[in-house]
Amino acid sequence: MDTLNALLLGFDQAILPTNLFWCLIGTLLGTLVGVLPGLGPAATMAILLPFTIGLEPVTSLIMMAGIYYGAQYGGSTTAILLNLPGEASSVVTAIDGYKMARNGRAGVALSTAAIGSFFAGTVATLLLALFAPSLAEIGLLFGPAEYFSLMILGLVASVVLSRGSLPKALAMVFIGILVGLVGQDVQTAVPRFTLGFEEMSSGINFVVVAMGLFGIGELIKDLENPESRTAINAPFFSMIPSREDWRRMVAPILRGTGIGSVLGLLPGGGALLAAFAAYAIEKRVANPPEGFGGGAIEGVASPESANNAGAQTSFVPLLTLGLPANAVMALMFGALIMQGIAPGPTLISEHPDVFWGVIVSMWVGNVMLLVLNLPLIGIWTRLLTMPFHYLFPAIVVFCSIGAFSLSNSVFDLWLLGAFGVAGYIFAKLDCDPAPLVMGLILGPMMEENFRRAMFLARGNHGIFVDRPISAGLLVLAVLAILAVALPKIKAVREEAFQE
Amino acid sequence: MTSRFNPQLIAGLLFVLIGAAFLLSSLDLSYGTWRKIGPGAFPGLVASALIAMGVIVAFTAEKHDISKEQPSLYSSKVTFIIAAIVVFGLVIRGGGLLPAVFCCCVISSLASRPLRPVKSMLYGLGLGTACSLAFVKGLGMPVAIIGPWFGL
Repeated sequence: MDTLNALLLGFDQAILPTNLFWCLIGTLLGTLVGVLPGLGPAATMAILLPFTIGLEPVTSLIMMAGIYYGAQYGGSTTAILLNLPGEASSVVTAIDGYKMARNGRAGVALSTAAIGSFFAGTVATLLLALFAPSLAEIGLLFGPAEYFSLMILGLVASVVLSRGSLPKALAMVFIGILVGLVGQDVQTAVPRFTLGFEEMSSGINFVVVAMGLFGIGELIKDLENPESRTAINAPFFSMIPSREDWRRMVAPILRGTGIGSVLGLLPGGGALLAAFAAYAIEKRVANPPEGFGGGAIEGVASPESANNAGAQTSFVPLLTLGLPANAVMALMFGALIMQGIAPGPTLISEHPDVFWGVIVSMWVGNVMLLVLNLPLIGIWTRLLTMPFHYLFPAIVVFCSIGAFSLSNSVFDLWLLGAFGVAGYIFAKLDCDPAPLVMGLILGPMMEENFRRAMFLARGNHGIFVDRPISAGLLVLAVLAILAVALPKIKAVREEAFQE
Repeated sequence: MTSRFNPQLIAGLLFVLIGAAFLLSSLDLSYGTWRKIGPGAFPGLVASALIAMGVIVAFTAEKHDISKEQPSLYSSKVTFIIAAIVVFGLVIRGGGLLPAVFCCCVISSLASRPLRPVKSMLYGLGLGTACSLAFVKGLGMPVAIIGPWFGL
């Protein structure tokens, strides 16, 4: 009953005309930028984040969430129509989705993705509403030591799941932490690593870093590798799945939803892991006549449901423990902080309107995607074939305006340029910027909790293993590292044997 | 054929360099005691860890990275994009939003071929007008559309 009341409170927030309006704008903008080449959800959110700051806290979060789903949806659209996954979590969708499109079933593939996403989103929203409050209660028991260990786990998880080598990803996390520490020390007010710049004493704004690394970095990379973008011109025939399609998509959608909901909860999980796992499992379970990779509807339904469910439930660690599970959630975290709201276990009790409003509006956002984007698909495809040389100057302009408007400071533009160069270099050196952003967000909090824990324990550094919850979290982190390290050793050995 | 200057090695050296820079400047800050940790200790620790990772990355690179080709780090496209952002920053205060967007748009469009100067200028003008309307008139961004440079 409590949950029901709380959901009703959320509905009151979500259906306020202003919130509905910005939710709509968010999903549309998200889809718009999401279908653009190379810009995934993280880049999209980084570019659009500055424009949400002027809004009310709930409204801005609702809009951010809308941008996130929109970008994801845009990603699957390009995956299906162009075989160009707009983001990593639709890579698997492209395998069968693009084949379906080639077979003249683009419309059905798109509606399958939308229906699956909508169903998964609905279920995940309900799960979120049911379980988040109790998880937040556990979070209330956490002291500085537990928080420190939790953040270690979060960072380790983000490293373990990033592409590329483990030491490289760890190095990126460390750089992120160091960049996050730039500015005045909270406890002693000593300026750190500011290079004498007055403007840096309040720290480097994370939006500028994210925009530079994801937005500008990816943009330059795309400019260097121009892809031929020819959308499938196959007639859409029908968007409506046949009876047979319906029958075949039910089970994969259910499976995908289940897998996605669970995997999204894990720190470091989220949409990407969910989609890959769902596709792998579907391959074992289902037996489509075309075979996987030949345009099987199961291969679209399951990963698309899973990535949406995962995207939704990955909000749980953020909203209840204050732990962003991946780079996108790190951006949401930053957005909350900029609104003066500290994400964490007290969020539900202190800002119930924000918490429940965001949860319900996620569902509202999904409805909007379903009813608005399917009819608009024609516009999106036309956008896809729009020449890139018109798009990218506009993206550079938006990034510049966004960075400037953060605090009306020209200095942020110099930083944007610097991090744009850094993003480009990292891309060239094959270093994934996502762990850096995680470190950037978690670094200052880690230091704060570390110092507090040590102070409370009177300098006894055994505190992190003496307290059971903290010790458990650290053990999990070590296990995660080992799990990745071991197969890696194996792979390296195999390589060595082959030579 | 293995080249010593492969991306792995460069990445490793870069990590060591960044770590060393942070470690050196953390030495100017107080490390404090275990009980009352100073502002330098945590960054010092992380910077050391970064150096260690850099060494590992660089070290493993030499062993088994059959480098394909040397990545050319320089690209004229980067220069144009970064220049566009910097020029935007130089113009926005004095020149206002419309000229800043115009310059930013025109300079960044130099990054793609073929060049279409007239088209890109028209596009810049249109984009500038649209942004001025949306951000200054619509969202109340506190910046002039046409700035003091033009004596208006």
